[in-house]
Amino acid sequence: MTLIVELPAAAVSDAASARAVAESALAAAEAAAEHGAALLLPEAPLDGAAHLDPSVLAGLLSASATGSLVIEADTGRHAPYNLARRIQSLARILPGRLGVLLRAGGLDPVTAATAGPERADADAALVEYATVLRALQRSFPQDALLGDREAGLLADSSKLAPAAHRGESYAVAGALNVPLDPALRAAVLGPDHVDGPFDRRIGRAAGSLRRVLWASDPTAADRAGIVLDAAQRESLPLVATTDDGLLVVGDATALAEAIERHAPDGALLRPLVSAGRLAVVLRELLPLLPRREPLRRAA
Amino acid sequence: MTERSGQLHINVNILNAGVFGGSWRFPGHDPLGAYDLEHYLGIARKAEQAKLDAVFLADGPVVEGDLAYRPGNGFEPSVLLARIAAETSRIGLIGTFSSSYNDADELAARLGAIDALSGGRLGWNVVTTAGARAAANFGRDGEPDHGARYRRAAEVTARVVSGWAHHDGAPVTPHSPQGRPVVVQAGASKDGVGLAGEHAEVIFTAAQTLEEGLAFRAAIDASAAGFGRRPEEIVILPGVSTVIASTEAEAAERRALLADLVPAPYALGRLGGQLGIDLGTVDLDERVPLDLLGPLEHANGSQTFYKLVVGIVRREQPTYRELLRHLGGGAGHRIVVGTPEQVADDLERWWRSGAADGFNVMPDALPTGFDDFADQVIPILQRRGLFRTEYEGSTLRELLDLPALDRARQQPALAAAW
Repeated sequence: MTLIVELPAAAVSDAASARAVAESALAAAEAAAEHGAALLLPEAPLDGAAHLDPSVLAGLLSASATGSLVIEADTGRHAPYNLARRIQSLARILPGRLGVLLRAGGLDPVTAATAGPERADADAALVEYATVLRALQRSFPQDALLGDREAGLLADSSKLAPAAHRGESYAVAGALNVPLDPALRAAVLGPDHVDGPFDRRIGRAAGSLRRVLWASDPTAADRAGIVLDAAQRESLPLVATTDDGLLVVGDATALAEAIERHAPDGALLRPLVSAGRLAVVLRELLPLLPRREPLRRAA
Repeated sequence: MTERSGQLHINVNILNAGVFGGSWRFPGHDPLGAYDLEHYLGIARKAEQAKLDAVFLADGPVVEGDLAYRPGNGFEPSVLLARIAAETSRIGLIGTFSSSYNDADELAARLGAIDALSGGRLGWNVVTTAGARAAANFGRDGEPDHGARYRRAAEVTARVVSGWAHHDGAPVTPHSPQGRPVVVQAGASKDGVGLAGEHAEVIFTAAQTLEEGLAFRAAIDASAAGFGRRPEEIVILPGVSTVIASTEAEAAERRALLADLVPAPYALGRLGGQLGIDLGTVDLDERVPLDLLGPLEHANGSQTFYKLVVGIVRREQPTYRELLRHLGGGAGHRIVVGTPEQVADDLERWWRSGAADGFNVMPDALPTGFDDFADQVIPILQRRGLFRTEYEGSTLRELLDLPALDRARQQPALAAAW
């Protein structure tokens, strides 16, 4: 099974709080890595408060993190060429240990400035975005680099495979300028209700990574705005199917059992704890779960 | 030399394999080193040991057209600077980010994150991105014209700075330890000088002579004064390519070797581009015809460069190969060739004249060209009292001796169209 754990959102008002988030993220990434799980660095809501860009945070963490990182990216914020360059650069630094989770958010401002009217179907735009990203990931294979000092040939440009994408929402010509062995590219993750070129799907369907929201007790659920009725509060642990995936209220043992039973292919776990507590919680939880396997990419 | 107080500011421009077209072929260097993370981290660590003000990364959102012959920018700079931030603790981190193809709010947030995580060490080199090839990566059929690019640059810069200063609504970025990241700019066109006068705190130039440098300084000071700014709020750093060896003869030999290493098709392509002539099919060992270049008024690019080439062709009647070797494959920045003492003398002379507050150093071949600069030139400048021996201050703004931001300067005029 694959397990991805989401870093809880935290307020970032100044350098000290930014560094505190980075330290919590590193501790959590290491706790996750000890058991083969990956850490998801979430993107803030578009209208949200100050945040740390996930690709920047991943760049910083790459100096120490030994496990896999997944960065979330909202299509409404990043032009595909810009995001692809950052993903590919991170994949060079974290070879085979990077994923990107795409979130449908419509067109980014740079694309929107010259694109036609926004598509009503955000999912279709997401599929196109993922298609562009996948094409760009293949566009500059590492073996195009020759480094032939004597012949004065640095690269064989005929091996570049420009994306040459012209779709309804996006037109992206180029190859990236960041080379990478295609086998080491970032895994591209997306929602399971969308039929797109994703390496792994996330949501409710069988075969996908199930979204699991976890509160260790009813108070934690209350704080997150989850309404539990009296009967539910009295019959813990609670395991319920929601529109988003699975809701588990209970201790680590209950969570581990719920994941094994209801998410046999893996889970994207969102624990309702503070970022600073995540590493401690993971050290309790992860030993209870079956062996994880690293992020998988489609061939 | 005249008296001038203070000290030089020095950045290293990690221009991939080095400033020359053939730097990647330099003996003993990994020809693909420019695609290796450790190449950049090693230079950054060395620069911090040498107490430099900042490392500088160039960038453009497009695969370089001459990739066959020289390495391009193989890492996106916000990711690379975040990594360098984790590996260093004092040195400034300046990255190039396009105003043409980034969204202002997203960029403000992303760069603000690096700034906060690094303790206030970030600088943003604002560039406009020319060229239809880059435009085609962002859904554009052609490139915007020069004026439109600079209008957008002014709007995006104002918006980013405003985001950092937390003016509009909810903050998108943490409070910066240095007030806000430092705004850096290059570009000597009229529009460029206007943009620099309004916003730039550090300016890169390509001045070739002291006179040019002084004239540029006067133009920038006048432009800045128009926006109510004082000259001491702006640090001018000409680019300088360094070729260093222990004797003058060895330095000249190293320079000649670097000229020889420039791949001929690359050199021809650049020369043709600079002269506005297609040289793609010429025989390198053929003499350059005297009538290759028409009258000066037909010149497309730099008239200074055009005159230089005409002079060489008339005087020496060289073959194409000889002409290219003579021109030497530089990147358009001033080249200083000599012993560490001679290089230090040159930098000091420019600084004392007022044409430079310091330099954006572009070593000839990386990493050894920078090792020589850090190990041999920096100590001379330090002995002369012209360069710091320890870091004082913890932010890039402090290292550059830029004045603390007063409230008035943090209120940029937002373009009405935004």
